[in-house]
Parts: sequence; C-alpha cells; structure tokens
Amino acid sequence: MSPGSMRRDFPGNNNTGTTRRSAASACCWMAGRSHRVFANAAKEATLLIVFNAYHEGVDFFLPECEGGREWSLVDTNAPEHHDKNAIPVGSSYVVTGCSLVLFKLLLES
Amino acid sequence: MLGRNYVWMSGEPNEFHNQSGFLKACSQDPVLGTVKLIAEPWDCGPGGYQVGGFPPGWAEWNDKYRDQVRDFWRGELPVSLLADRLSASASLFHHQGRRPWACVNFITAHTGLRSTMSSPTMINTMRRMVNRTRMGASTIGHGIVVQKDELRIPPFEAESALLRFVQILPRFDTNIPYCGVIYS
Repeated sequence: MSPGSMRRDFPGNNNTGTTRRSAASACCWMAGRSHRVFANAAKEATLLIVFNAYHEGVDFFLPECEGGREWSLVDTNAPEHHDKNAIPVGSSYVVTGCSLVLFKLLLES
Repeated sequence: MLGRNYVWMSGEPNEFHNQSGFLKACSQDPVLGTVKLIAEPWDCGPGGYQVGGFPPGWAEWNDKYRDQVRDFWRGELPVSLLADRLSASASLFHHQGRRPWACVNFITAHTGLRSTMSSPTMINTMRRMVNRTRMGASTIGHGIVVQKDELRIPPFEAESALLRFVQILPRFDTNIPYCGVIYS
C-alpha cells in the first residue's frame, strides 16, 4: 500500500464543509506483516483504524494492498455486519459521524 | 514535583533537573529499580511543567495526548496534528534512548469529573455544577471551561476506543463514579 492510495470522498467539493470534513477525518494503518526478508516475519493481523470526528458521515475508500482481498468490518454501529460483510479492497465505506471504525485485512487464500 | 533541585545541586534552587539526586536514587534503588516508575510531570511551582523531561527509566503522563485528542474529537484540532499523539508523542519523549512506553496516554485523570463523557447524565451533572457557580462559565478539571449554555463534549465511546489503539500504554481512570465501566 502506498500512502497515496488512501482517499476520502466528499460529495460536492465546492461545499465549504469540505475542508472541515477533511480536517476532522483520518485513518491509521497498522501493518501486521513484516517484509519477507526478515527471518522471523511477523504474521499478525493488518488493521485499519478509521476515525471521523466530523458530525456527518464521510466516505472512505479502503486501500488496496499486496495479498489483501477484503477488509472485514468490526463496527459496533452496525453489529449485523460482523464477519458477514467484508468489503473488497478499493471499495468505499461511509464512516458514521463522530465514530471510529476498525477493519481487519482478509488475505487472498 | 519529583526531580527538583535542592541546595547541593547547581542551578537555581528548586529548579527541575532530570539528573537530580532523587531521580538517580530511584533508578539505583534495588526495589524501585525493578518496578515501573510513572511520573505526573507537572506541579504548580515555577518551571513546573516538565512533560517529556524525565530521564530514561521513567514513564510520564502525557497531558498533550489528553488535550489534543479531546480537541480533535470536538472538532477543534486539525487531523494533521494528531499523528504525533497517535505514535507515542515521539517529539516529546524520544530522547536519550527512551522507548515508546515512556509515554502514558490518558483521557481523564483524578479530577472527580469525566471531562470526556457524553452521556446525558454526565451533561446534566456538569450543567448543575456550572449553575451552582452562578457564573456564565465554569472551569471543570484540566482547565476546561464549560459554558453554561454550550457543552461541547467529545464522543466518549470514540475517544475511549481510539485510546485502545494508539501506540503504547493507555490509562483509564476508575476512582470516579462517571467512568466505573471502563477499566483495563
């Protein structure tokens, strides 16, 4: 994954709220796998933490990464999604306002 | 605060020094040298704010995490300033070989008030306290000024969840009734 592959979508880019939304939402990537050159390669889960301090939902595009198939959602705002609706890499997901969402990367088998 | 100089040290009397005799003694003590040492690195005396100033071997409460993350969730801090807070505040603590565990992130402390709570009960309690002062605003813990008619409190669940994911050492407080449900 490259840092540039993470992007958010703000409908109506001329809207004055765009800057405000951009400043209030972000995500944090926690890689669980180390580079293959290491003798004891880490094999932990790769996580994506998305936090949105804006009061409205913000559309996040979930990043593509090598060997990754889907992002599995851990979202207490929508418990019915647990373990059922994994989201393909590169797709978008609306993060509810004033909330934090955690994704776990599912690898290609 | 621990680490203030006394007459046998160079410099101003009572000035903080991270090589003070007491801090050295702590690291050399056979018992204290084997336990976790966590400082609340401020007091109300001159030069009393020393976050990041303690020597290796000590961890410190990080009030900048508390303040800036709270401001972020309240919409008063741009996200660009958040990265350092989410990575153990290296700009403050990464010196002299100190490790990320030197930074103890927390979102509330022993004030008796949960400044971050967003529940209706908490808001009502804060309103009552503000009203009791018979002023338009009141300072409640950590210098937070609460306006009588405007309570901008960050979402507790989100702030608490973020604390669990940031690098190293979260701290939850339990000695106050409003946050008895969070403990780790």
